[in-house]
Order: sequence, then structure tokens, then C-alpha cells
Amino acid sequence: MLRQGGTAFILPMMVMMVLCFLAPLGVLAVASITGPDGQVSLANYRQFLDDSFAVGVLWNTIFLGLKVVAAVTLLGVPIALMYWHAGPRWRTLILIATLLPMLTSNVVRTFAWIVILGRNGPISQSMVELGLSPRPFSLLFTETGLIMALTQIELPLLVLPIIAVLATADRRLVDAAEMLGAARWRCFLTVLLPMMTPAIFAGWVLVFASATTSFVTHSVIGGARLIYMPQFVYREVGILFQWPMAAAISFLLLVSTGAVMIALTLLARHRRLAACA
Amino acid sequence: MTLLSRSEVPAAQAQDRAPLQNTDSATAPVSLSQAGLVLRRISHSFSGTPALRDVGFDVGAGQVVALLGPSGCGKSTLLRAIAGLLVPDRGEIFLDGQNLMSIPARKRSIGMVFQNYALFPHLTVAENVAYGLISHRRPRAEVNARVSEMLRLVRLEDYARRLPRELSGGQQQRVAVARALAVSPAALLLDEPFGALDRALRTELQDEFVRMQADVGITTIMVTHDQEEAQTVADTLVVMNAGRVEQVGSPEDIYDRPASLFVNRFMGHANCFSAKVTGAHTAALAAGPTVTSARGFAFRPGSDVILTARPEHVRLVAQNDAGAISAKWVRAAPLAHMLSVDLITPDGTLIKALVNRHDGPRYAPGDAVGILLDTQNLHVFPAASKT
Repeated sequence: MLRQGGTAFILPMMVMMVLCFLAPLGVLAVASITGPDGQVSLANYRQFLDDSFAVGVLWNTIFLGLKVVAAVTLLGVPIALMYWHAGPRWRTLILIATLLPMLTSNVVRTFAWIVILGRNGPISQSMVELGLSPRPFSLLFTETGLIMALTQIELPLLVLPIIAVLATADRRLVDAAEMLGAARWRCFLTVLLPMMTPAIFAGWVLVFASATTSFVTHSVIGGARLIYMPQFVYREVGILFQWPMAAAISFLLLVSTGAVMIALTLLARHRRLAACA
Repeated sequence: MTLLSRSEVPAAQAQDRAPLQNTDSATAPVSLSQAGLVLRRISHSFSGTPALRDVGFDVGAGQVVALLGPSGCGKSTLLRAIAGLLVPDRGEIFLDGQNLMSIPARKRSIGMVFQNYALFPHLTVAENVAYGLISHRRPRAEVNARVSEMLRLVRLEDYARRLPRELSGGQQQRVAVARALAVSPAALLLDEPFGALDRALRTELQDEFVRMQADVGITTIMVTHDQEEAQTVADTLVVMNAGRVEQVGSPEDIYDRPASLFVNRFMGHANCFSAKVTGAHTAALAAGPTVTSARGFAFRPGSDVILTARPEHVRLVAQNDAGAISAKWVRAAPLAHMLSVDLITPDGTLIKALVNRHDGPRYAPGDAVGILLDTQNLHVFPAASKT
């Protein structure tokens, strides 16, 4: 498997992966196809897919992931471009500012967002002061608020891979485009963007996976009215004690988010994109 | 090209006059109809460190000029300034009579071949060549025709659909040239275009480039640190050192009549001897013997000078011959029909000599020999001029 007896060195890791990851996944898979009478059946899946509310939650979760990916991209790509154009001092500053949210606990960040999104928070207040809103409003327990919070929290997952690519990218490619008469937008679209694309795809996979499974943020900012898959699973497990059902839902979540991620990964393997990496 | 004619001037005088002439060329007025590239008094510094100091010279239309110098001499900075990728602090650049200083790089109509070529990795060979044409919004049919024409020029028709990383280094270099020439620029800049290639391929591509350049007839400026490459490819050399132009001239001119000790030592090997001028035609070498030059030294008697002689202007004689500098034979290596000999004088100076392999006796390492300098071909520089 590995050259020169390297297998012995990865054995502990493999044992851990099998015991702590593959085995539980197997248990989950078996549980999900176990009917109420202990027989093998797809009843759990059928029940979930027949329930329009449940399927709605699944779609909402996927859409939430896509919306967060879009928001993170709109915010993250300009930050990465700022990094590209910045001098060494600004580069460090941008890097630290990007990393900083990752150094805070997810729970703490989420609670900070409660303050920001609340009726007396800075967003609501400044909208009122600017005359853009007649009265204070709360973004808590709304999808907009949730997307804002998730976007800030997941931003580094997109920006860091792009910065890693740009830090070692060949600046002469942009010079070459300029010498060939390309204006700024053409430079960006035909040179910088293709260069960044593999990193953007990698970032999308991370952001999507993280945004669709972020139980704490979903439940604290989204509240009880906005239900996404993680909370749905939690309800089955902790409140209804329908473990086989929870296992089936978990698998559906795994498959649906996994499909998106595999699609992106395959796209990044395209001959032309691979040439940029 | 306003070449500095100094064919009749002894080296020492040429040395005195060279800076003056460069300044002349650097400040001379530019007539609007002047074809080719004209550079005037370009200065630039990077955070206080000067990189270019009052650089100025002319490149005639259709000529190939090589900027030559050690790394850090400012040649790449100058190339970027001409390209428009860098705005120099001071100075002016004219291309075919048009002042380029207020024109951005993408509108200068200058093609550039970068070091390591900077081909777009995600575009095919044909798309790379088409890039500039599409930037200039040429019609699709014209783009296709021009791309085929360029690929034929660099003999890569069969590689149109390949990605750059699927090509060899030499093929990549040719794609880079085709891409730069596709938009029919008014001038072509090359930054160490052959630097990344192995020796055999380099020679082949240099020959091919010379042929192609002659066909296309485009004004070309090339940066290189390889003096052999510069001599092979260029009509005119611009030798730079520490941000200044040391000398402008034809390859032969620069080799035979170096304007400074730096140029003398940078272009080929120069054996240096400290000496003191004793009369109009005589100088006493620090190593002992007196040298007599029919051309004269053009230095006041008593001046400390440095005499230089090319290896081919050093003759080996018996140790006790009149006027010979005594030295020890260190080693010899055959070089075609010549023998490259390393010698060392008693004061530790290393001397290189290039002698006919079949002339004179063979010596063994450690043998004492005498050195005679060919006084017709000596160069004289003030002792203060180091490097």
C-alpha cells in the first residue's frame, strides 16, 4: 500500500478511523434499514420521503447551504482580491482578520450574532437612523439573519484556500494579459478567476458542508420556527426517540450534501482547472 | 541607432568620453518621425534604492538590442518600464515617435515574452495565441486565420489543442513568442527568453529566433545575463551595471573597445595588471617589466592604471625572455584547436591565456614560464575604477 513499510505508521490512524468513523456509520446504516419489527425494510426512508414537511426541511437545508455559499463567495472573492493587490503589511492584516473568527468558539460567535441581529442591535438601529426602515426590526429567527451569521462564520473556509493559491500564483500571468491588451475585467475573468477556481470549489465544498450541518447556529439564530436537517435529526433522536428514523434522515442528509460535494470535486478535476492548480 | 563611433579612439580616451556620449544620447531631442524606440533619461528607485539612473539610448526600427548585465543591474526594471508594467520616476520613452509615458501597458502595442513564458495554464496553445486578438476585439474569422498563421510561423500547427503543461520547454517558448507577435505589435520585448532551456536547445532556438526576427523585422529588446546569447542574437548590446548604461555598441565593438573596466571584464575574460604610467608610451607593471605601447597611454606619467589583456593577447615565452612577466603554469584545457592555460604570477594574480595547441613547448603544472602581452591590444583604465 505504501512504500517501504509505511503501513505500520498509518496503522493507528486507520484503526481510529475504522473504530470511530466507519463502524458508527455502519451501525447507522443498519439502523436506518431496520423496520419496527426488526426486519430489513426501507420503511424509514419511505416515511421520510412521503412526509412533505420533512422533504421541505431537506430542500430548505440544501437551499440554505447554497445561499450561504453564494453569500460567502460574493464577500470572500473580493477579500481575496484585496489580498492579491495588497502589499506585505496589508496582506498580514487581511490574513489575521480572516483567521480571527476561526479562533473564537462557534457558540460565542453565534451568541454575538444574537446581539447584532436583535431589535436593538446595530443593524436594526442604523437602518432606522438612515430612514431605510420605519421602525426597529429583528433579524433573529429569520433566514436572512441566519444566512448573515453563517456567512460570517464560514467566510474563512472560502477565503483561506483562495489566499493560499494567490500567495503562490504567478503575477506575470496578469502582466502577460495586460501586455496582450486585456482590460481589468478581462484580466480578472480570464486569468485570475480560472487561477482561483480550484480553490473556490474547495471552499464551496467546505462552506456547504459546514453551513448545512451547523446545529448550534441553526437552532440559536433560526430558533424553533426555522427547522433544518440537523434539528430534525435531533428531534427524532432526543425528543421522539425514533432512532432508526433519525438514522435514515442522517443518511439522506449525508447523501444529499455528499452529492453536491462530489459534483464540485469532480468539476475541479477538469483538465483545464487541474492545469491551474 | 546612434552608435558611438569610437573606432579610432584608444581605449583610455574612449573611457573618458563614453559617459559624455551616453549623456548626449540621453538628452538629444526626439524628432516625432523617429522610428523605433527612444529612451531618454530614465531613472527609477525602489523604496530609495536607485535601480535605474539616467538611462538613455535609441533602438532603430527593426533592430535587435540586448540589455546585458549582471543580476540586479536594472535591466529587467528597464524592460518593465518600456512595457508599461512599471512607471519610472523620471524619463521618457518614445515608440515610433509617440510618447509612451501616459499610455497604459495594454495600449502600448508592445509584445512581451516573459521569463518562464507566463502562458495561461488553462488555455490551449491556440487560445493562448488568440488571447491578444480577442482582447483587441478582432472578428472571429480574422482571429482564427491569424492564430493558424502564427502557429505555422513557430511550427506548432499540430499542437493547437494542447495545454501549455503538455508541451516541452522549447515549445512553450515558441508559443510565448507566437502569442506576443499575434497582435502585430510595434516592438517586442523578451525577458531572458532562452534562460530556462538547456544548452543545445538554447542554441537551436536562438538561431530560429534570429531567422524569424529577420522575417518579421520587428524592433526587439531582449534582456539577458548571458553575453554569448546577446552576441548571437543581437545587433547592438547595451551593457548595464548598477542601474547605469556602461556602453552601447555592436558586439564586436564592445568586445574590442570596452568603454570601462567593468565592460572589459563582463564581456569575455580580461587579465588585469596594475601598472604606473612612466611616459607617453611606457608603463611599469607592478609585477616588474615595463610595457611599451605604440598607441600611447593617454594618462599623465605617474598615474596608477590597470592594464587589461584578453587571454588571446597573452603570449607564452621562456621565463627569462626580455620584458616577460614571470608566472607558473597551473593547468591547461583544450578548446577546439586552442589551449586554455591558467597561470599564476608570484603575487598570486591568476592569468588566463589562449594559445594555439600546436605552438610552443608543453609545460607541466608548476613549471616557470614567461608572459608577454600583445601591446597592440591592451586596454588601459584608471586604477580607481574597480570591478
